[in-house]
Formats: sequence, C-alpha cells, structure tokens
Amino acid sequence: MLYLELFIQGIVQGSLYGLMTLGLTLVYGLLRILHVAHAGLFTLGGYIGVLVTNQTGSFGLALITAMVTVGVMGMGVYKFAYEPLLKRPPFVILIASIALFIASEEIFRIIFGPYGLSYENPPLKGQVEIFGGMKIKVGEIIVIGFSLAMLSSLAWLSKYTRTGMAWRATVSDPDIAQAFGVNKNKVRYLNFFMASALTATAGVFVALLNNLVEPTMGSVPSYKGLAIIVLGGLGNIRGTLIASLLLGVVESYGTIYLGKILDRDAIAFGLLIIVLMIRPKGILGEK
Amino acid sequence: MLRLENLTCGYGETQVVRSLSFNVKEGEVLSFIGPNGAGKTSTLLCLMGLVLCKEGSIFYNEKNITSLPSEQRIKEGISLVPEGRRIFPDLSIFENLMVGGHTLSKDKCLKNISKGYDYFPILKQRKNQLAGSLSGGEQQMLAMARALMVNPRLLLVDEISLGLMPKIVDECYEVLKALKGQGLGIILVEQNTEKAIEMADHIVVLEAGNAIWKGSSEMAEKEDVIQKLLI
Ligand SMILES: Nc1ncnc2c1ncn2[C@@H]1O[C@H](COP(=O)(O)OP(=O)(O)OP(=O)(O)O)[C@@H](O)[C@H]1O
Ligand SMILES: [Mg+2]
Repeated sequence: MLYLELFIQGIVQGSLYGLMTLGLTLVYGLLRILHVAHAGLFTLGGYIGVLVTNQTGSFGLALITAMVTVGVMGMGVYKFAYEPLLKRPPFVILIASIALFIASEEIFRIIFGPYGLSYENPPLKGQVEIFGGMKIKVGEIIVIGFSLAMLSSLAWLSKYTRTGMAWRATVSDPDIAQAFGVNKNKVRYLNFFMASALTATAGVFVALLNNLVEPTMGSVPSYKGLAIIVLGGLGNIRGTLIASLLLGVVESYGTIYLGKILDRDAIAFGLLIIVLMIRPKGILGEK
Repeated sequence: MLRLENLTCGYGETQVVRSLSFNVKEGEVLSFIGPNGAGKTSTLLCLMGLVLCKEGSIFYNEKNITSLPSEQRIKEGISLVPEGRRIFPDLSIFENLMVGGHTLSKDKCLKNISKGYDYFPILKQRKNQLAGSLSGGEQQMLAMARALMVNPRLLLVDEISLGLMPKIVDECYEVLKALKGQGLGIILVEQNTEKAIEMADHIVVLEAGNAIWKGSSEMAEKEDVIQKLLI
C-alpha cells in the first residue's frame, strides 16, 4: 500500500513540476533563454491564487485570474527585459533573468509581507478514499486532472491549429517561418503567455496543497526547474514532462528510503547526475 | 517586375553585397552565379526581407518595397525556395505546406496544397510523414511546393540541385520551366553553371559582393564568360 501511495504522491509532485517547467522548455526552445525569472512568475501565481480566493471565495476564478495576469506579466518580462538583450551573448540575458528573479522575491516581501499568506478558508480540502482504504486529497486529484487536461489541450492546439503549426515552425526555423509570413513577435508573445500561465497554475496549486505562499516559494523551483529541463533534454517538451514525472516519483520514494542520508533536493540532483552520465544530452535530448 | 537599384546589404556592420542593380521581367529567368561566399544567398534573403538592406532600393511592380516586412512581401507575390531546403523537419508535409500558406485563408490553403500535390505527387502519398524523414530530393520538392503555396509572381530559388540525383534535379527544373511558362519571374542561384545558363534569360556573375559581369545568356555563351571569369 505504501508503494502505491508514494507513487501517487510522486505523480502529483511530478504534475506540479510539469506545469512549472514546461514554460521553461517553451522559452528555451524558442529563444535559447534560460528563463530563471520564471520561478518568480510561479510565486506570483501562488499569491494571486490565495488573494483572489480569499477575496471572492471562488478558487476557479482565482485560477483563471492567476493564469491571465501572470501570462500578461510573462509577456512583459519578454518585452522589457529580454527583447532588448536578444542580440547580446546569452549569459547577459541569464544574468538579467536571475536579477529579475531575486528582485521579484524582494518585491513580494515588500508588498505581501515576509511571513506568507494562507487561505482563510482552504478550498478543495476533502479527501476521498480510493481502493483499499487509501486516501487521497481532492486537491491532489484536481492537480492531476487539471495537468492532464491542460497538457492535452495544449498538445491539441499545437498539433491542429494554424497558430500551433506556425509556432512549431518558428521553433524549428524562425527565419524561414518569417519568410512565409509568420509574425515572429506574435509567436514569442504567445509563447511567453502560455509558459507563464502554466507556471501560474503550478503556483496556485502548490499554494493550495501547502496552504501557504511566501516570498521565497520560487527559490527551490528556480534551480530545480533548470535541473528538470536539462534532465529532459533542453528544449524537448516530451522530455520535460517525462523528467518531471520521473523526478516526482523518485523524490517521493527517495525521501522515504534515502531520506536519512539525502534530502529531497540532493536526490533530485543525484538523479540528474546519474542520467547525464548515461545520456549526456538528457532523456530525450538530440545527439 | 523587380528592379534593384544599387542594393547594398549585409549583416551587422559588414557589407556582403555592394551596389547591385538588375531587373527581372515577368516570365524571365535571371541566373545568379558566383563562387562560394559571393553573396548570392544574402541577396535573395535581402529581397525576402530577412537580411538588412543598407543602401539602395528594391522596386516590385514599381512599388518601393525596400523596407516592407517579409509578411508584406509574400502578399505582394514574392516567395523563396531557400538554400539547404530548410523545410520544417518536425512538421509533416501537410503542415509544412500549411505554414507555407500562412498568409492565406484555410480554404485557399487547401486548394493550393492540392495544386502542389499535382506538381509533386510523391508529396501527396507521404503527406502525413514528418518532413525530416524524407529523402533530400523529396525535401527539395517540398521546399518548392511550400514556396508555391502563395501563388508567387516572383520566385527566388537557391541552389535546388545541391546534393540531389540528376533525375530529381531534372524533375525540379521541369517544374521551374512550367512556372516560367506561366509568366513567373524567377531568380535562380545555381552552382551548376550549365543548368544555370540553359535556364536563364539573363545572367549576373557575382564575386565577393560585386557584380563583375551582366548580360544575356547568349552573350554569356558566346563570350564563354563563365569559364573566363570563374576560373
Ligand atoms: N548570418 C550571417 N552573419 C554574418 N555573415 C554572414 C552570414 N551569412 C553569410 N555571411 C557572410 O556573407 C558572405 C556571403 O554569403 P552568402 O551565403 O550570401 O554567399 P553565397 O554566394 O550564397 O555562397 P554559397 O555559394 O556558399 O552559398 C559570406 O562571406 C558569409 O561569410
Ligand atoms: Mg548560398
């Protein structure tokens, strides 16, 4: 029973990692930017989730507000921080992104206070019993279901709509896509919107499951996110999802069986090192 | 239909083509020849709006298009078969063609895709296959079909014969001849000088960014220009 329970916990954690890191991969795939500030947008999502739920009592509305607001903020990050630096060497943008992330933590501290916020009336807090007396939180079921729904609708959009095709074409050859009339800037804004809206939902759900948002909520995701996208094979969407789930599950078992010697993050980076020794370009990285 | 006046283009600070002028009329083929690095590809990309035009002007049907974005140039009827094919490898053939017709309505797109399949039936058989898994020849056909999606009036064709079997090269040239017959203007960049002269009405020889010879293809043959200039 413990095995199964740990597995389900791992899948929940993996789904959250997936929502969080898919955006990093989208940004890297299109622009080759390591978007560290993404983790700041994740925290912002968490704050909006808690604040809007506390104000209105509607978790659904909070989720949507977080997605839209953070999506637009993400486009702003591209427009004002990255676009002006695109012609510079990549490390310039990386430094800008790190600076932005650190600044965002301080801004959260100033605006929302250092101790964090909680749900006054935590939504979705029931538990349901699945096979054999095992219990799972409603919130966790929602996380898994929501991630699946989100990812499959994104997959559908990118596969079957013309905008999706144009986006994939731009990822693979921006100049030639442009030569056929695809507007590169629209694709980039869309990409940042999607990436940021996704990470916002991760923030909302993490805040929900922990019943806490605090200014530093993004610090672990900021570097673990990079580990995950490297693990999956930089820029590879499917790889990122596999790596997220794998890491979630490995951490879940690891903290129980190796918890005495290694902490959660050490397990994550251990996995990264082992995989990179076997597959230097990541799980699904191209040769 | 196309007139270049003293075009100078390049990347960043460097100029790779200097003060280039020529005309292309409807139904005419202009061949661009010259050694590696002469600036042929850069000129085509500049016509497409992908490389910066630093000086000079580009007129298309007497309209100054020098600073129009690519999207507008496509709508004006200019289209590119890029060097190295540059099909979108992770997209299927059908999807590549849909992106080729990005500026068109969906109905128009589907109509033009079936026209493309008529030119290159093999593409129809494989329409759901990923373009990256096609042979070089098939990829080249796809690159041509993609360029034809917008019903161009001026087609820019960059080294279509590179690395292909002669039979497939001939097939591609048959299509180009048919298009010329329909009144398209074509600018052809070709390493295979025999082919280039055979197709061409006019020839421009480019070397290190400068046009060192211009004339009709008869003149070129009579003067044996190519041999003299390029060797
Ligand atoms: N993206 C780029 N950035 C900077 N310089 C470039 C770029 N692309 C090409 N060049 C330079 O511009 C010059 C002209 O290159 P171009 O590709 O236009 O020549 P070409 O005539 O098409 O050659 P080839 O026969 O090899 O295709 C070369 O010196 C090349 O090094
Ligand atoms: Mg070239």
